[in-house]
Amino acid sequence: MKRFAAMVFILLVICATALTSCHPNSSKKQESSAKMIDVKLTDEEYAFVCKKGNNQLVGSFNKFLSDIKADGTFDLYVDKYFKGEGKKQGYDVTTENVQNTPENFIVVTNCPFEPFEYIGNDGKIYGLDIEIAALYAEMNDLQLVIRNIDFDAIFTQVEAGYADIGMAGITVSEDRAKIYDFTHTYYAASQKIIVSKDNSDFDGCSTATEVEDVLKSLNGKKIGYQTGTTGGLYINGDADWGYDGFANIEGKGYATAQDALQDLINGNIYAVVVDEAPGSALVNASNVKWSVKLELFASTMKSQYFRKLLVDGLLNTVKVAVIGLFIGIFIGTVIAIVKVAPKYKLITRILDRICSVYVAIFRGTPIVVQLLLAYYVILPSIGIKGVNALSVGMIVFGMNSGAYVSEIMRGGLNSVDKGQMEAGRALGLSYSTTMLKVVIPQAIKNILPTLGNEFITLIKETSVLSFITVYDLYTALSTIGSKNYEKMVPYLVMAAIYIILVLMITILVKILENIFTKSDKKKTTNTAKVKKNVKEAACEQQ
Amino acid sequence: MSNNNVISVRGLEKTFEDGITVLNGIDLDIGEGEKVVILGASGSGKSTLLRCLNCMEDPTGGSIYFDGDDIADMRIDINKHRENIGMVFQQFNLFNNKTVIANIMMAPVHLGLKKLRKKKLKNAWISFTNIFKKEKTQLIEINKTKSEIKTEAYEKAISLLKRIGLEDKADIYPATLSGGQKQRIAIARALAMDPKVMLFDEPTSALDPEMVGEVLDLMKQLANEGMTMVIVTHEMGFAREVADRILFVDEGKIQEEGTPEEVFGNPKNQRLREFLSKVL
Repeated sequence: MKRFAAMVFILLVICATALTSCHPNSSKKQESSAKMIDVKLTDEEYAFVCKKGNNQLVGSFNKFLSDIKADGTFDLYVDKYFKGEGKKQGYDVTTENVQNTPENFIVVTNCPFEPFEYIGNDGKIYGLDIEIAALYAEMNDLQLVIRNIDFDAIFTQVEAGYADIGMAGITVSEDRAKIYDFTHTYYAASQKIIVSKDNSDFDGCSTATEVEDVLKSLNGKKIGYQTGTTGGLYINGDADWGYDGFANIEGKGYATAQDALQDLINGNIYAVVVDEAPGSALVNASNVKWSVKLELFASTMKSQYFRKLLVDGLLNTVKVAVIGLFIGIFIGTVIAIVKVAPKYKLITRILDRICSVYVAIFRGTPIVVQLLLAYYVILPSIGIKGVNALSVGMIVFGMNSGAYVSEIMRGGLNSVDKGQMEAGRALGLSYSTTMLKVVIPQAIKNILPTLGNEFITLIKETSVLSFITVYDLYTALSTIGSKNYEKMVPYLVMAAIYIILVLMITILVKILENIFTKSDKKKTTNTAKVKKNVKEAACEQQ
Repeated sequence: MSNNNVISVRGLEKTFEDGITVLNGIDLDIGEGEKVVILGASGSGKSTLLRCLNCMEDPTGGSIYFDGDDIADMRIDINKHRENIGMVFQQFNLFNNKTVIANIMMAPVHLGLKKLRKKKLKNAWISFTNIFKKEKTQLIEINKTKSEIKTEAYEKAISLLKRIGLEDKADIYPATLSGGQKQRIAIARALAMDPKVMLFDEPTSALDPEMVGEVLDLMKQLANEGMTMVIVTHEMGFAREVADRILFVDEGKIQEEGTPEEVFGNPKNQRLREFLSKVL
């Protein structure tokens, strides 16, 4: 326990040092250290995205859109979010993977994209897109379900049928229209560029051409954008969209525009290209003092919604790792037994082959690829719809872990003296009984430290669960960061939680080791007491 | 084969996977209550012969008759017969993850419960088929309950431990015991199954000299009680004292066999004479 306390202390010291040393000047700056160049770089239009061929939904939604445009409701919403007139209505956002039934209207979106969608102080989701979705659901008697996921994932979720519609300020393009169906457009938008406060390269630019001329003169600079958005196409060039791109500039994709802006403030990139509307909110929120950052985080955590989000994320991470490990131990043990079993019979030789292929596949591909394939390719293509992403995560992690555990387990089984098996068989016990009751318990004792390692790896690898929209620890803290456009503190907290989790596992493994190695120790504890219960104990052991 | 032979071996052959032939046509009858000692130089195949008797090594030719079955036949359920053939190993091979008493109780309890489950399953089937029959089939009699099997095994284990003088070690793990204690417990573990024959594979070779005596004493006791025993050993004094018959194995064949007096007093085979001159 002392060691644990020491580790936690060291961790806190590291955090504190990071807090004070990362930004020595931060206390002097009060205002934003980034600014947006007020020049529209592109002309684009937003629409909602549906699965290709879902004519019924697209038709009904288009009719709904023209109706609310005609009766003025739409303009009311626009005024609400762009001019701040009227009361905004927030909605619940779910962290669970709700099954897509005809009664549900499942909307996938990507926060923060103010004012189209963002999470308010009360943990509810607000925005133009959201209010439109809510009105549609109400008018069609559908149960509204809103899920906040990665921008990229919106398309795959809609295509795989996990969600009905993607509403996230999505720009209509010919390319996208080939794969997805769009509703009518509802908002004309543009990309703008954000640079650091001291940057004067764009002073005096008033047209897109002038900005582009400046960009063309910047050799070797890096410009960030949110992956999958128009910004990336604008920088890298795309013939279908009519963007020439900039050969002299290196584009850098981020999971959110906010991460890109953070990198800009940290001085790693030259500029960020971002959608106009959320861009100004981003700039306003950028660069605050560390004390304010901590305050922001603390105030966010006061909200019950975000606390629940964090607890859910933590639980999901632990659930996937623990259940994954148990599935892994089961599969791994089965494979290891097949591998060490004598191969007299054809069936054992065939099984051996199958296991080799299994191990080769699961060790040969990254876990992210396995998750994506299982969730977005294999399950939808065999017609299984609306599965819980969390269960998919557990099973994939278990199967992946099984491949590694099988090798660990094989080593463990080989480390047990052959005589143990012979003694069991000589008494008339079957191969499987001796394996289960004598060899495997001893093997597990030998491999316990290595299994602990595997568990630690699993816990840390769960951070890729966000790829299939599971709310794990990473997603939870990332969402908390999105709330205030401030992710430094949440990321530090995330690191701290992971370290504490891993330390706890280390201690757990130590305890288990002590229990399992009691048969090696010279003395048993409290012989008299044991003697009294020896009969029951012996009977139980059987 | 006469009826009072416990094990009958005919034309036993064993060739390992690497092509080396260790046993090359062995014929052997072991009568009830007989004590047979197998001698031979290292690599002569004496241990392999012993290990073939309960199919620890699968024979590649010939037959081994035990309890009316040819156990060399791969189709025979060898586990059923191994229950009745006790074996004691050079390296003791106590189950390291189980206490001493659990080591002894494990096989009787597990196999007892397995038989009980089978009987119950059969009875369930019989009562099911009886619904459709006019003449009801009699149910199999179940004479022991689960807890009775456990209690019986426990009592037997305790009495065995008392007999070898180690009842105070019942609840400890084998790692804490001396070699001699381990081997005596290994013998007790084999005895717990009430075997018809006991096979000893160099039971004292891995022991410190001062512990050899306690194990040999226990084996002598068993011999006096009339247990059928087949023993591979280098303890010539013990062989002379206990054995009814001594076999000398060399080059995969039984080169000479006879009473201890004949073998030790008047060895005919040249190799046996060389062997004895080295070990005596």
